[in-house]
Amino acid sequence: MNTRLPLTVLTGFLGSGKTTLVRALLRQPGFQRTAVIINEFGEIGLDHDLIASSREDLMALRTGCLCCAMHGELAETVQRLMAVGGFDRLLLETSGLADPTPILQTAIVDPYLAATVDLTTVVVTVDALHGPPVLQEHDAARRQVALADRVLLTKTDLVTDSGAQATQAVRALRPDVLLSPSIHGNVAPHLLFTPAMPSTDWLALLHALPTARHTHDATITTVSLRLDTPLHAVTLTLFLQALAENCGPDLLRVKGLVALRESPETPAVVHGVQHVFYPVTWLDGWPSEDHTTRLVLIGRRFDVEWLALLLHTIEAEVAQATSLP
Amino acid sequence: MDDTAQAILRGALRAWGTLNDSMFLTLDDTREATAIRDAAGHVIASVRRQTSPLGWVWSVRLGDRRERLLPSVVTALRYLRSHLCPERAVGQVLFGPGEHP
Repeated sequence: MNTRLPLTVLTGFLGSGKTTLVRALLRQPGFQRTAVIINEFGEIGLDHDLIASSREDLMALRTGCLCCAMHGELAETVQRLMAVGGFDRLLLETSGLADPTPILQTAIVDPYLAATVDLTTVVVTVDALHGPPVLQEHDAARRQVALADRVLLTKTDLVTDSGAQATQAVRALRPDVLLSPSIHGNVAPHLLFTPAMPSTDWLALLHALPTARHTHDATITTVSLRLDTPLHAVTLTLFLQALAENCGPDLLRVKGLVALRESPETPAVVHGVQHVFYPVTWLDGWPSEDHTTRLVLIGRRFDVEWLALLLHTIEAEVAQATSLP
Repeated sequence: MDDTAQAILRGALRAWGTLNDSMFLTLDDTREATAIRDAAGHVIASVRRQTSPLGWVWSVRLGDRRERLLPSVVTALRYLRSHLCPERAVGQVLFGPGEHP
């Protein structure tokens, strides 16, 4: 049984509506028993003054960019909140300039956090008005969208196309991500606190992804790999290592459902942020008739044909080595 | 010539951000190996894949150094990258402890 507190990471570029969203959520009954951690950038924090809460003790405030000074601060903050008690979920609002990667990695690998919180979902706000140029010009904004489980499109009431351009800009980076509108922060709390894609539902979205996308530039893209035959377990770990080594900082996120030769009826779930991975878990069985291995890779400079060839080559080498007399 | 080995190398150089920038690929003089050349056309590495009693191995020669046999594509790319792109940031896979560390 999972006894950890659900943690939602709310991120989005400067001015994209994160604080408006939190302010609106705090007024909703469904938002009770939620501790909010606000990470502001700059010496003078304003966001916390803009948010009124009936439980000030459930709001932890930090200055400085969390992604730049992650060492233990998030764990300490959560520890302080746990000592206060009285809540059953956490919302971490990042600075608009934050790269969420180290925050997510810390939640995965820090022993205290790993035992205490369950990183449920990453929600990213994208401004329908300024979002398209921001995503074009700012790498931090693209990285935020790259890591999103759900994107909330804000300020759609300020544009004439109802956010079509912003939707297109997001879809260009993440054709698989879930998109919901959020006007004046009006959004159902469950969109932030339930997994955007419960269990392996996100795999259904793979069908929407181009399977032969061929990209060599520095743009963030989402590619998918599909294999019909089960892999050796060691192939999976070698491939992840090869990705981490050869793609380095260009690798942003990996998600996958993998058929392993050692346990073909219980697929392995792989989920990582850059080179840091959740412990591999196994499903009791395949969620559908489709028993193929499916991996989704999000990052830069990805060449899907090379990635597929690398995986096949590693598997061929492992198969050859393990079949030796 | 081994098309797979060449395609692996081409993709790796692209992933490292060096293909057609500071490095490019040709066949080497024996036409059995793939040569990695610098922008001036000098061979900086020569790579071929061959069979051995242990299965496939990768033969890598860096410049004038002695040829080395690497046991897998992963180790061959690691060896090449550490010499050709030593400044490039490299990730090491790390698994989180999960709920019960």
